[in-house]
Amino acid sequence: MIIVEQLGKTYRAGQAPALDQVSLSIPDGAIYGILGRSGAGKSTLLRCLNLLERPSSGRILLDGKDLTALSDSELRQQRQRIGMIFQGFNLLHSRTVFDNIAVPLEISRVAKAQRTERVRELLDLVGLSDKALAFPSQLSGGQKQRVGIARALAARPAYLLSDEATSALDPETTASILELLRDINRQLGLTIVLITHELDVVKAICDHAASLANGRLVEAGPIAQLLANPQSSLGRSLLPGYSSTLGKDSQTLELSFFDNLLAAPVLDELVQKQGVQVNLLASGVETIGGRRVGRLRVSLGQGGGEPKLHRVMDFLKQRGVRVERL
Amino acid sequence: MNRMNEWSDILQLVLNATGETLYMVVLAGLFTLLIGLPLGVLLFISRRDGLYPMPRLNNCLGGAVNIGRSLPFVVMLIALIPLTRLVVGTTLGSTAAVVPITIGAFPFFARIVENALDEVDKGRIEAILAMGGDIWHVIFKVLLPEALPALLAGITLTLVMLIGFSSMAGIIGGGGLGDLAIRYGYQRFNNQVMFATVVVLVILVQSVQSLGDRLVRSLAHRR
Repeated sequence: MIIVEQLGKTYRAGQAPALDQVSLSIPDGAIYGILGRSGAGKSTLLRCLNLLERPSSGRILLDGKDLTALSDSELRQQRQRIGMIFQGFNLLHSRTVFDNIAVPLEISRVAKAQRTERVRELLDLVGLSDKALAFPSQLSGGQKQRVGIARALAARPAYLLSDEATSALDPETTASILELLRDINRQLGLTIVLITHELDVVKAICDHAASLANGRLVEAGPIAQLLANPQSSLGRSLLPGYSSTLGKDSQTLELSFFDNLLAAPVLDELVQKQGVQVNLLASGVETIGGRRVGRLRVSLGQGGGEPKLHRVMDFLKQRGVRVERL
Repeated sequence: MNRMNEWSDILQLVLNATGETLYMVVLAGLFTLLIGLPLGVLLFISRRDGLYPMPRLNNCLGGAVNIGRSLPFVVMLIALIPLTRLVVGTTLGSTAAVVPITIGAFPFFARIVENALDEVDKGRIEAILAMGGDIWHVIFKVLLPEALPALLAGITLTLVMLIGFSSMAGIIGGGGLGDLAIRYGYQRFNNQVMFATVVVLVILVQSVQSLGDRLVRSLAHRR
């Protein structure tokens, strides 16, 4: 469990802070996505989690231990429990794939025989057993990131920090890397904290999300909650997308259905029992944070005015549909 | 005097002088490496924004290195005569010449090392720190291995410079090819010896340079 308390970071006195009173808690086993535009402070926040960046104020509690209060050698001990992967991979070009993955094991003084065995396991895990003796410059971007992941996992950390790890990769490679991260999360129970500017990354694998803007935390929480909360703008941005150039009028509603509700005859009942006309304008269905989510834009047609609209909205909310009026 | 003109004698002279030059270059090169490499690392890590900031020390070392580099080598050669006598016991001969040559070369080499390390991607250093590495891990697992091609190129450059320095040591009687050029070429107008000296020096510099280039290239290929 990582608890961030009132974290602040100011690079230069007088300048706007890069982080301002950020508090979060990251539960064990989560895949926690932190979203934000560039310059929002997400990279600074991530780098504070292993103290690559020292915060100006606040605390970071890693399983109850305050990282900011540790001595240098204690901090190095803790860092061995936190793997990190990077947008630019940061592999050592003077070493083969095998030797790159072995670096954390050398640092934690694992004996050579065990080192070899562990590296073999990891090569197998990331599907690069045939590239053990290749040098990083001979690999594709996706392969380099797999090496980065294997290296980050070598010392069996409890946490993995991902600094825009897929931002330099094409969509297909991104998907395969995200899949690998999810497998690792499930198989090893590793807690993953990732920062990204891509909503799709969060939709694909995260179960928790937070958004940052101008160094401040805007929203944070389990994605299921964010999605279900009509007030959440982060939740709204995570809903399935569709082209929304279609017109809207005073009778247009946006409806989101979750999980089992997707198969329930809610609209049917609306038409049959409430006697309302429903025109479908747009729709999309996606799996987001492990939940099936459908999103519809409908128009109720003319007539009936406000009373009808409210009746329909009440009915839908009662059935568990997230309803927004446009 | 006549016998001097016979090629076999010239050959003997040039061979001996080449041996002395190589002796000076190899010995001074070794000391330059031993002093310059750690000094370059220290200069790099002690920067204000470095891995182990020691701005005061960095300023002192940087200043000393700059003084060392700003003196023309001929001046240093003469200015260092008392120090040479103190260290070696004499100021004549190739062994004595190693002292000023080393002192003239290591500040230059230290700067080359510092610049080579500066070229190493900061992200790679960060990756080692993030996995719990200390400053020694950073130096020996990242900085030196990752900068190796640049360091080798720098060593090549320094060796060529050392050949030049060792020739100048002829001025204070340091032996070697420079000494030969001064005593036979300059003072006795012996053109054959002069010519042979030039040929050997060119061959020496060329072979050091191409050997260095080949090493750098073979390393770069692997990466």
